[in-house]
Amino acid sequence: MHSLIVQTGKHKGKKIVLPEREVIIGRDETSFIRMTSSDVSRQHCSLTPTDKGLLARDLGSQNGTIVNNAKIEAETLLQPGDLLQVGPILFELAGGRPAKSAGGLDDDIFGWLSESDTATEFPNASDTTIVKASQLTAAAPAPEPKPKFKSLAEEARDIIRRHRESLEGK
Amino acid sequence: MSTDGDIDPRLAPAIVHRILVVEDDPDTALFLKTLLEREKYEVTIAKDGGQAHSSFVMKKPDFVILDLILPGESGFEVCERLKTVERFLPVLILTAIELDDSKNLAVRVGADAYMTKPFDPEELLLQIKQTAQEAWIRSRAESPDGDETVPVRFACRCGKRFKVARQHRGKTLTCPNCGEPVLVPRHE
Repeated sequence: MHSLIVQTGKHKGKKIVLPEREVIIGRDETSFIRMTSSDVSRQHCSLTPTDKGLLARDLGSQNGTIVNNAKIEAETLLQPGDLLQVGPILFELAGGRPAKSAGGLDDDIFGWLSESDTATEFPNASDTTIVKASQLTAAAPAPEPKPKFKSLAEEARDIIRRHRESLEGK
Repeated sequence: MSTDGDIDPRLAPAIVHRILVVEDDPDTALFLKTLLEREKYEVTIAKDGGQAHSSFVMKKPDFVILDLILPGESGFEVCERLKTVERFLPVLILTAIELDDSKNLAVRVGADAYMTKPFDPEELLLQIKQTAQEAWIRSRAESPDGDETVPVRFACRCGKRFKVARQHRGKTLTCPNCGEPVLVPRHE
């Protein structure tokens, strides 16, 4: 099981455990790691676990997906210790070895990131948010469950989002 | 103030002098400033949470009109922070959001009144006076001279009940039953 460790911002050192399936990073609601920064495309990049490592693929993002300080043009295999930058956030692939930045790792945070099935917040200086989507495995769209919120900021964003959606529907 | 002549003198401390308007839309901000200054209020405009907190420290407003959709920090968070510092500062939410969840959250972060846009200017002026008076009356009832030893009682969404000291109002704790964060309510 692969893990990403946040390397920048206020939440440096926090760990995101990836599931054994392809996940998307982007601004889209369904993204496994969701960022609200305008520097991030709706579907920015995908991460797919393979036997050889974690396969990163840019999904035609506006600003590109950067691995080890280089914009990737094709599918790129990430190894533990590799750096992945999406918009303003830099991640390090921890993978199957002890994380280099374990000093900043918080067991509680690890717990709620890996166990929680609800939105999780990572506000940083650039107002970027990372949340775990809750229903990626569902084959068909299911009714949206009553969301649980980890913070006031997250609940506020949800209300504002629903307000904007209601305006678009009019 | 414009209606000083007919106000109950016992409510004099509730009279508003300085209003902080937190509004990022320049047209709305200008409209509010013009309206309020016509009523002899001293008005400061803040475009976001950062400016709001700076103005709060420097200008010491005695009333806040707060939009919810702001760049960066939302009005909910601004309200919570202001109320953490000055819990009896009257805060009137003025927003286009009509969702019940928004009104509920506004109450939870301590807002004293909630009005939706578009608004009737006269109704806003009336609401400012009423909200200020209610906040002042409540501050008298809950002031340190009151019974601060009575604990605050509230419940988590999971049903777990809590009883904590009043000094913890506005703080968040983790529910030992469900693990969710729970805000200790600012008001009964």
